[in-house]
Amino acid sequence: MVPELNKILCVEDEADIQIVAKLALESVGNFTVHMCSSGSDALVDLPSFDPEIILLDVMMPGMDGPDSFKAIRQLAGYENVPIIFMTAKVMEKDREYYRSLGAAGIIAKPFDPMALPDQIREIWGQHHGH
Amino acid sequence: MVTDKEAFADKLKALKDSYDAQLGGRVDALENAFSAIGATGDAAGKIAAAGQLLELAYKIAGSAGTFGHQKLSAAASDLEILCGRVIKDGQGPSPDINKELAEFVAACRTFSGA
Repeated sequence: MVPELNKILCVEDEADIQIVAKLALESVGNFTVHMCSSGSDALVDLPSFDPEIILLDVMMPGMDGPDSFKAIRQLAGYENVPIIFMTAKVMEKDREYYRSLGAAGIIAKPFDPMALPDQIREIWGQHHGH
Repeated sequence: MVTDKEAFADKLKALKDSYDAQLGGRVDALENAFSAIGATGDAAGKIAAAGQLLELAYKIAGSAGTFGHQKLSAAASDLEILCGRVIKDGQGPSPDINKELAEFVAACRTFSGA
């Protein structure tokens, strides 16, 4: 049985994408969503929001996606929280690298706002063995 | 009566309009970053400028398609990949690569409609 997914933390530095992702995840997916503009903001907000899954942009100023991923994994209680990379990086070697880090999934940008919630639910299901 | 789906579509349309209104400025920034590659004399400066161009292209590649500009997204993605090659090469773009960069930047302008 796959547990219900409710709380998503989305880390994305671009304002337009933040807004459309939040809109899609809340309106279409009925999720509770918290947005962060950077990996360092995410590290601060993680304990209070306590997400069940994290969406992480790859290319961000300061701490990029992979560095944010590694930092989140160092936090007590977040060693195994599923993390999905969202990226416009299309090269297979990039994707292999994200998988090698332990990403639960990779969602290609640009994304279809209507399809985004289902993409996340599919990865959530795979993470729980379905 | 407005359904949830219609309300969502209306909000999405407003976001697209807002994004479209900024597209010209984004492509201006691409063109400026590309010009900076040519304006810089040394390889290190060219690589730094290519890095700036790559970041701008990545952002457009990742966002434009979400707002209905698939061709712009694809052109920006091509530009990003080529910038990555330039950076990896470390020498600054050859004349042929520079021509390709210029073509991708021009394609971004064309597909932006701005």
